[in-house]
Amino acid sequence: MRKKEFIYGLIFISPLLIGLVVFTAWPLIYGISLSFYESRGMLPPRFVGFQNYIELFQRGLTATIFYNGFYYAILAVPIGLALGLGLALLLNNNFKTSGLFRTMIYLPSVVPTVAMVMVFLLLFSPTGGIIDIITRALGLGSPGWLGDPNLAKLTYVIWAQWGVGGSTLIFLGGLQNIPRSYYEAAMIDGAGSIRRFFSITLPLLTPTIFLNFLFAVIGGLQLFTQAFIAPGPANSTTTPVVDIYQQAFSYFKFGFASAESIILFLLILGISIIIWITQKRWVIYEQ
Amino acid sequence: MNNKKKYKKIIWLIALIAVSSVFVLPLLTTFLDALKTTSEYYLNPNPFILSGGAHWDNFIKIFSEMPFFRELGYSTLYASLSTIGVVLSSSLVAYGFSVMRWPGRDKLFFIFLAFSTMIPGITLTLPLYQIFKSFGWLNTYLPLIVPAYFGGGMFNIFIFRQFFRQIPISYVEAARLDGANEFYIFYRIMLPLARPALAVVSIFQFFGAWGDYMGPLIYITDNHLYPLSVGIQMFEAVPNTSGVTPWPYIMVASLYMAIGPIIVFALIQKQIIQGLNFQGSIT
Repeated sequence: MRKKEFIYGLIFISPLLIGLVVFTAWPLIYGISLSFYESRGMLPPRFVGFQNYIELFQRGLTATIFYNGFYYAILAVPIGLALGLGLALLLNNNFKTSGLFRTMIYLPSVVPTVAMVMVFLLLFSPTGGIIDIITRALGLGSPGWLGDPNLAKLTYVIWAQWGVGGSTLIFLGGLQNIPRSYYEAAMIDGAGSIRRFFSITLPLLTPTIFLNFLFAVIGGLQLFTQAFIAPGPANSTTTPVVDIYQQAFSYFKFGFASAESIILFLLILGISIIIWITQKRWVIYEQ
Repeated sequence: MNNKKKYKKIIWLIALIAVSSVFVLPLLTTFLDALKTTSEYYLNPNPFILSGGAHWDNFIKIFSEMPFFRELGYSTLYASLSTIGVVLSSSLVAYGFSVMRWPGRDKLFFIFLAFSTMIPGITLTLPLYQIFKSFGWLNTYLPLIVPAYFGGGMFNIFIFRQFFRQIPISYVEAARLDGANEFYIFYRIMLPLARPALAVVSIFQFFGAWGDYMGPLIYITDNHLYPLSVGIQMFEAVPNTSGVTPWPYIMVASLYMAIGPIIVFALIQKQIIQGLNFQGSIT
């Protein structure tokens, strides 16, 4: 039976194995090899060794582009997690109206990114957008948002919070998994609501926070759609993926773009490993 | 005590009304902007001022103003065909990773899962573009659909695997004693029991493809083949004959694009809360 199950197991996972070889392993190896070649239009590519990588690191723009990517991930991810958790705490009760509020907060997160960008381009328009009307009414003046190189990245961070309902929903699932008896025991011991949050809720949510954090950082570093459709002035919002896309498909520098994409991969791999290792210090798994 | 509870509830209510109106405001202004004519929008962009009344016919006129039907068709085609592939193949693979017992199974699963989340999409897209180019697949939807049939994504496999693990193994063993083969057990016993996972995976995949922007942007170069996501953006990027961007129509198109996911996800929120539970899932 054991041997039969092993063979059947292999048969069942065979679509994945084929897929991983054809659509992941092969492209990855091919991509690495591409990064050592120079694309020359109609001519066959020429082997240039580490030339693309050297060029990438010598280019002044590279630092700006990776800074833009990190700026977004470092700001948008923690803010998103804190907001998501805060809203989940606000919604985690048995009041009848909670369902309605939950729906209203969750739904923007399912709006397709392109549609979201279109909506926010108008909303944040410095000429008559509703945000402009509000900031002027509050005496905050008329910020240029995407038109202002100092504000453009921050604008994406603000836009991203509209989609915070997705993590709110995941946190709600996590909250509902915490046994009520823990809170009852803590209340008998005289723990107040703040103490209960820090001693029960937060520690037991750390696995949820951890996975949300990991996925959000990986996703945040790959920001594309907003930065591509609605870029800020000069290169103030060019993210690594936008630059890779443009190098490959606008300037046809496939080798250079591949090198940049390999660096992005190594960065994400490194950061993921660091997050994964440090989780042991702060993530609490119930046994 | 009772009074204190009442106050708490009122404060809670006010806080949530304030928060949720912030979330709903963009949808409301989009809707109001969608009711203007383009010239009315440029005369007064404030969404709350409808100087010329509500032009409900914008929601119909869009079909002649932009190639909306065709783009809708391509979006639906891409979303449906990739969803079928993802559901078929991720459930099949998940069965091999949960019901079947073989040495190293769980380790291999998590290596695949971890690795696939850490490779940026673009790192694979550049070489895949060259590979699909050599297949002659550029300007077709094949690069976006065919890979879905080979594994269907580790995260979807993960969701099915979590579900299959909750189903008592005795069901499978009883069926085996009755002489059922593994494919029969998978198809007739396990898959019907995993209906919630089936719903969550197919809905996420469908609307993921529905909103996918980068995929079609890279592989589809003929603008007669664009799906809605790329079409809307081109509509914005390329102003109409009078040289202005027809914002009200773009808002109409955005609403049409968003309404499907909004309705479906509103209906399945509770299943998502239960189905996408990460707590203690890494074991």
